[in-house]
Amino acid sequence: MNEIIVLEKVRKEYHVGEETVNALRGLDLVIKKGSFIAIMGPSGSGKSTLLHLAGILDVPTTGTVSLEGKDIKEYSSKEQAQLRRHKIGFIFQRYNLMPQLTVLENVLLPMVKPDPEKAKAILDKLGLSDKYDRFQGQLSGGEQQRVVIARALANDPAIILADEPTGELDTENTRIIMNILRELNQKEGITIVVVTHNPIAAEYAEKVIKMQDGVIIGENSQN
Amino acid sequence: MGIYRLSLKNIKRRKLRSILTMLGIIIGVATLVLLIGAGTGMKAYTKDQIQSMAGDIVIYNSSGGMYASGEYYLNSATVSKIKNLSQIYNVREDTQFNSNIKNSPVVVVGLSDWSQIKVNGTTGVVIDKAMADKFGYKIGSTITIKDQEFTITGTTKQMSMGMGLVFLDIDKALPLNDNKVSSVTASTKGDPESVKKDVESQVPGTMALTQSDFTKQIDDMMNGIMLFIGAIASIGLIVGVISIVNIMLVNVTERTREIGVLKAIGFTNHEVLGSILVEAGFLGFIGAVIGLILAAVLLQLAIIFFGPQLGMEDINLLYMLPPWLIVAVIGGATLLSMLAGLYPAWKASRLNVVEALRHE
Ligand SMILES: Nc1ncnc2c1ncn2[C@@H]1O[C@H](COP(=O)(O)OP(=O)(O)OP(=O)(O)O)[C@@H](O)[C@H]1O
Ligand SMILES: [Mg+2]
Repeated sequence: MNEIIVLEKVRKEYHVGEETVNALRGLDLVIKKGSFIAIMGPSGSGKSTLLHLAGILDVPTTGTVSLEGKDIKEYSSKEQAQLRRHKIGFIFQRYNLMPQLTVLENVLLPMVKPDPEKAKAILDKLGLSDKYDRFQGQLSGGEQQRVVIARALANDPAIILADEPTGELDTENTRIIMNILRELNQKEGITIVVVTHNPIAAEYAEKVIKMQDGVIIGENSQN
Repeated sequence: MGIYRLSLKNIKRRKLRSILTMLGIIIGVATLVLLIGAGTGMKAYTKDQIQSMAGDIVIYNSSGGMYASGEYYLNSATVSKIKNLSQIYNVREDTQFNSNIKNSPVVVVGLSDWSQIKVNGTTGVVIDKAMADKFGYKIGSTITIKDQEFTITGTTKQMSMGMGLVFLDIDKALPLNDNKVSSVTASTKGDPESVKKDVESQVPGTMALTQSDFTKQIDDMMNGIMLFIGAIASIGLIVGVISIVNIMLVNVTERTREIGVLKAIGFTNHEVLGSILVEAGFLGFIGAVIGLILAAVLLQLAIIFFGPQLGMEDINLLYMLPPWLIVAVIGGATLLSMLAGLYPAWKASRLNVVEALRHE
């Protein structure tokens, strides 16, 4: 099987009082194993909604989302949580770390069998070997996002889903984060999907998908 | 690094808030333990005293009883009848009457068994220390009771409410009270309960109490008192528990985003629920332990300062804090706090992940 996540005719509606918001309107997307995709589009076009569905954080109103060939609706909510824990790594724009835990503890948190040696090895690889005992408030934005990546790697995920991971970073840190994601993709074969507004970040992906009004309006492969 | 270790960290995170929340539990537990501990201690100590009492049975005048008015004493004819009973042996008489020393009221107690009283000096003529200090009496000083002079042989820290206290050997005290006896203590041959019936039927005008009668009286009295004070102290605990519900709701709302992240990285609703329950439980547990320590310190101070006056110098903290009380109080407070956390925890576990993640 070549694809990891497949979305078919996916619609997502939100209800705000009488009003119905169509966040996604019949979207089809195939995410191949080992691919590196960037999703771009104007605010409100449904990028985050798409990422949440792909990451089994939510279910579509109609249509199907399948992970490794199986419709996610067939899993119980407990099984969905376990899939997130073992197969998927999440990176959000900010407020991602547990502020009461140190860097090392944050990486150990999702591990089923906490392994400090493994956690340290991941942190070392991301250039955080001298920050094990820092707390969130004692780190720069770029460092925080690297810790979040480290936590996402804790259970050796098959795919990493990132929602504007560089949204609050300067160009230098944006490049550092995107380089890390590219290495994870190329060296370890982890599938990466990044939602971004930033063309510099999008350059790192193999394929850029453009969204508008809840549908995909185009895609182009690069490099 | 399980999710449950987060619970403890969360308590440390907002120290002041946690401490203020725990305060209710601390005060509730401390009051409860203080009152129940004092009651339990008194009960256990008094029971011990009764069991160390030299006799199996104590005989009084049935119309007077121990405290009631009416004819209070056993006359000499009755006493000799009692002494002639074959079912009892080791018969000892006690007497007690009111008198004056230098116009100050005293209770004179005639004793044949001095083991219940801690004497500084020797037995024979013992007065309470407060009175000795008041009148400048020392061992060797002379006091006059009912125109008879006695030389003081010792003092005691035991006190009687508002009155002086004089202990005399029974043979010195009896003549002062027209040979009237307050009570007769004896050992029994065979079951004290059946001997009690024999005494009451064979010697008219008497009433006998066995050790278990005394214990039962004390139990009845103390259980009533403890139920009452326990109920009052529980109000404090309930206030503490309510403040846990309140603060956990605030915590959960404040941490909406964090709970969203926890769920996103794969913790199940059950685990989220459990971690909030554990956090609430910890608050109760720590509060209860602190409250218990506080109560233990206060009880120990009470023993040091008030023990001697109550004639209970050798009372031990263990009397007041039996293991069952410690386990019940800590377990109870922890369980109640977890119950208090149930609704906030349920709310947290039901949070929609996506909405929680959008929460700023
Ligand atoms: N919980 C919700 N209730 C109602 N409407 C919602 C909800 N979540 C999202 N929407 C709406 O759905 C649409 C898509 O939202 P989404 O967050 O996916 O956009 P986005 O592309 O990520 O935007 P941005 O670039 O600003 O993050 C928007 O119109 C938004 O207002
Ligand atoms: Mg978005």
